[in-house]
Amino acid sequence: MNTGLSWGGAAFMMVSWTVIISLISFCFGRMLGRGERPADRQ
Amino acid sequence: MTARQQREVWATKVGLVLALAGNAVGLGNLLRFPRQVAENGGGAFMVPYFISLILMGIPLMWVELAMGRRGGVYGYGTTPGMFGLLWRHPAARYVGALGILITSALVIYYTYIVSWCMGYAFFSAAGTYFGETSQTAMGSFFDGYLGVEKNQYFSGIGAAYFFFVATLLLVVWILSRGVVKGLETLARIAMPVLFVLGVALVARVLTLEPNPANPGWNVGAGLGFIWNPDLSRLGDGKVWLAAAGQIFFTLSLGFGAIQTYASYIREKQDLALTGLAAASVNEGVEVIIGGTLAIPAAVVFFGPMQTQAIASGGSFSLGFLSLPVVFQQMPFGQFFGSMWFLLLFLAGVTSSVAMAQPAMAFLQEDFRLTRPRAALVVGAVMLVLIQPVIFFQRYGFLDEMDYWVGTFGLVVMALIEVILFAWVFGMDRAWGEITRGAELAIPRVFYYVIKYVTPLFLVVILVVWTWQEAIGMLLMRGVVPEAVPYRWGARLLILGLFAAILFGVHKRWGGKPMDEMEHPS
Repeated sequence: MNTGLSWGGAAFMMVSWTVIISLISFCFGRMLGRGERPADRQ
Repeated sequence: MTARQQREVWATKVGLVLALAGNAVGLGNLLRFPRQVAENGGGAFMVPYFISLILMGIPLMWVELAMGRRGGVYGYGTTPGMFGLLWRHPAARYVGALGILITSALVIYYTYIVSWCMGYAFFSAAGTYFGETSQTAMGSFFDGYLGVEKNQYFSGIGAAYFFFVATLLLVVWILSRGVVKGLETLARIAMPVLFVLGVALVARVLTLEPNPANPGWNVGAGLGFIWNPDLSRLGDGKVWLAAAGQIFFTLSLGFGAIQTYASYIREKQDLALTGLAAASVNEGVEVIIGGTLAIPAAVVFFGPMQTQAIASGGSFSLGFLSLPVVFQQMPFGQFFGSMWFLLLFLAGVTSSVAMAQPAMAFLQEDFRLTRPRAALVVGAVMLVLIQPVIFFQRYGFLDEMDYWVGTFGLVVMALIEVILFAWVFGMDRAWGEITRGAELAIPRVFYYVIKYVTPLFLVVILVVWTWQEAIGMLLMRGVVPEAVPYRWGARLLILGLFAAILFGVHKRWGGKPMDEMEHPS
């Protein structure tokens, strides 16, 4: 039975959180007008 | 006037993303996900989870959005009309009726469950159940609320009925206000509130003191309970299926609701970024908020051993029996308890309105009902059909409905729609639909993922689920004899609803040549 958060558990948790927070930031950053849009390059 | 000009469209892009995210975020994000992670390899579960998200979840989200936007261009807000545009065969419209059936059947019992959250938010704030400090006692409180037993708190089903009617009236009122004033306004208010409540509760759980009687029962142990990886489980096919299933439920795929929401998107408006943003918000609520609340809090107060039993007892056991006990042991427990159930309520009600919208679109577009009248009809049908769910719940009426429409039906629907879109309609045209107006350059590899990988993923899930569960469910293995008639009743209710929808589809389109569908106005 688990007795605490292991390094492996912390790594999986932090990577998951980071991926998701990055995705949300990327999407809303694009939507609110920041960053280059594919349409701008055409 | 074209069909597009007659239909409402989302007022803002952020409103659309929040509405789509509100549709996806539901009780499953907060109650089902943490159980699935804890039971399927901890952190290791996230490997198949993210792979399923990329290979099945997001591609299907784009498919449903593209299908819906195309339908909206021709004036169709529901899957019968949309399928007819993809597959020029008279049967397409009848197959599409499945999309209305699933959402219409789901919204009936889902709204009932959402109403429990409203009730428990009230009971928490009022401290009604405070004093019932064991799970057994809370189980008795829960049974009393649902009318299964009479006890000191409840002498009948009255309270559950009251909160159901209140929730139903709220849903009907939102639906009657339309897409922008109703659905979009709800999403723009409810989703930010949901985030604030979720973050506040996460902060509360992460700062919980260790259990004084057992200092080893602390937040670290709670997070470890969920996240510590058991990499050996990655070789277990059940873990991969569980992850794929969770992605399916969490993004509300295969319902028919995303298509209806997408039908209110402008013809050349982006879908790629919108879909990815909605999916990301949903994942944020699920993984960050859902993964940090219920289970870690339960570990601090019950310890890992008992939490294991709680987790395997089901989502309702975790949410309605265990956490109320936890809140009672927390300073300001009434406040945090009501916050938790309000969070669940907001997550649920934004999904309820999304599930009801296909029926609204069906009545408005195909039967020319005004919006308020359509909302009243939807509300009245829900009120009538919920009766057996409420009164026969102890016999598994709700479970039977949930399995066939809320589990098995979703995979069937998703498989049909991806085959129609990628293979019958044609992947080149499908890709053109998905990428039209895109504000995000979708990697070309997704062309092949949507065409080959996503359908294969769904076929595997469908075959395994049929073999493992559906046959046993169909034959009612393990069902006590006295419950058999009621479970048949649930099946008849689903079939009756399907027959009514098929009749409506036939009345609207029966005998008309497919060419007419291209010129609805």
